[in-house]
Amino acid sequence: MAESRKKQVYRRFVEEVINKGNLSIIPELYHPDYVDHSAPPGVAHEGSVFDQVAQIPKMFRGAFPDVHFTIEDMVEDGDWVATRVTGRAQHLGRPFMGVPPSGRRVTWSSEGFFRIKNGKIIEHYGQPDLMALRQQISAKPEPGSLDENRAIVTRYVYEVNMQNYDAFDEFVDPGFVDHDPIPGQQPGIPGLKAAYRTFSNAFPDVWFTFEDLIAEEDRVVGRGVIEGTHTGSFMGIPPTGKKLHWTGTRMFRVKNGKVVEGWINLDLLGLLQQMTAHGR
Amino acid sequence: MPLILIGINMKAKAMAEQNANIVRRFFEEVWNNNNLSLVDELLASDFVDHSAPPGTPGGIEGYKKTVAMFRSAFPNIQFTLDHILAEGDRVAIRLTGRGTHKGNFMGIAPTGKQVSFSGMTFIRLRDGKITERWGISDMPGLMQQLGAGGPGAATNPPARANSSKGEVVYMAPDASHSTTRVLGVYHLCKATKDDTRGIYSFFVSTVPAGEGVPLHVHLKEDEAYYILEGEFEIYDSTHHRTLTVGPDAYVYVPMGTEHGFKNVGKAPGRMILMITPGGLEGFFEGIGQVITDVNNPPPPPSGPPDFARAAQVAAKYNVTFVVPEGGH
Repeated sequence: MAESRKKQVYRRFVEEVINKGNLSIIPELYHPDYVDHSAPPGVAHEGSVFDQVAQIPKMFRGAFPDVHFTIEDMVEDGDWVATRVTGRAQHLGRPFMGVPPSGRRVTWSSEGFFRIKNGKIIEHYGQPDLMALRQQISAKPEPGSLDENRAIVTRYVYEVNMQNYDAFDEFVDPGFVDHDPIPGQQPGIPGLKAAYRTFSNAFPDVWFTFEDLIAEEDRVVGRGVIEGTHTGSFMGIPPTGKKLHWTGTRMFRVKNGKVVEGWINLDLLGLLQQMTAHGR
Repeated sequence: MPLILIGINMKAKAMAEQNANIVRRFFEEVWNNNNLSLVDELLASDFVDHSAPPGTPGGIEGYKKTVAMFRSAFPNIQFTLDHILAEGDRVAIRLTGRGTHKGNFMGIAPTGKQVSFSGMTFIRLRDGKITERWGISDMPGLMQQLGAGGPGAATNPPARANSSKGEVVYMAPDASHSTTRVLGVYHLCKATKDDTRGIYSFFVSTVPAGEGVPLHVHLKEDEAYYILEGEFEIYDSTHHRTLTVGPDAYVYVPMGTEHGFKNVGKAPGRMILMITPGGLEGFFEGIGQVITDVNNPPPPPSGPPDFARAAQVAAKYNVTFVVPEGGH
């Protein structure tokens, strides 16, 4: 039997908004009179109702950039649809529930009650299994495990994002070898810190987010995106004030709980094109 | 739609409704009435709890252990089913659990705190028995309530020394300890908890036409109404219905259950209100006006009600007013 209209609304929300981060279709799926009875603390009640709806997928995707929901079951009765989903993700982005990005692969359940009116979601109660989620991201990995290597690399990249360069020593071996130095980069940790400062001087809000991360033996490799606002000179190009977005791939070798070698490959061509393009 | 499909549809709806009733009965009996024999009766022998805590067996015995674990931590635990949806062989529920923390819970020693937590559960049934469950409760919220100083950490009013003299007490018809007026309803307090060794409080309440007590919940008191005069609407949250009752009707409301009433007749009504254990007279006095002369009451307070003070008093006595859900 074909899925009902009401269930299709929820399925579209999951497949487009949660799984793809396509926030632009929220006004097609949500009623202007939408009420969320389970909005977590910290959700601002400002902007349009659609902006408020967008905050939760944004928050999840910020912490878990590859979050993917699988719909396990839906129960429809009258105007309401109850939903049961399994979430799968890697904790690679921002802190979640106060826990810094852990690199953990997590799986959790979530249930919800949605009221649908004229093909749009107008009311919602949600019950994600936050306890299971928090337990997984705060569990200490086995020493020497792949999970520990993932945690070290994720945490290192996060501290760089936070421009907390003093925390380097905790994650970076003094003999660290950077295989892709910027021109004139000095060896070791001091050179590495200077290289990062070159970036943060040009893009003060620069932020690298892994969207995927794979660990094998002593290596960890990840694919990610970088965002930053171009307010300082970079590669001889004066500041444009543009919010830029480019991709990068990074690999690290981990030994005794610290990164000892690093490789990075950034889409500098894409970056230069955005900096020199007219308009936008 | 062809007739045969309508017939199938009606049959499916009837089955869904029957399943919803089984789930209601399950919660009412197993959780609220502590009738564990219903676990064996209503769970199928191949029952699977997909949300069993790690380390517990996921079948019937595991479910009994979960019930026992919650009951040893919260001996008066009660669940209210806030919303039930049923389709085909599944039932989805949204529920609220309430209880007093009197035993160890997940490593937290008893705090005596009243807690309230939300949850959702999907349940699958076959031939009138529950075969599978997937449940999530707001454990972080619950733990926060049990944590020191966390939000929602209500405290009990301190127990006062018992002043009952162990003597027979006679009270004339119009006599009372005190009379309070709360939202237009006069409560003559015949016995406070200090008169009954804390066991109950006893009121005779006079309710003008059109007045009543809005929907509310108290977490640690049972309440009984006995109508003396008049016609009242009483909300029955267990069965999601409103009863219209008259003289000699008796209604019992367990702790943690939404309730409220309204005089829908044309004349003033009167009822007996018994609340056990005792102590809610302090709530009436805190939230309402103390009336010294019933035959010559002062005018009701002017201006808008002081919601902040009402909320403070309600929190002290673990009373929650319920805003009815609109729109469905």
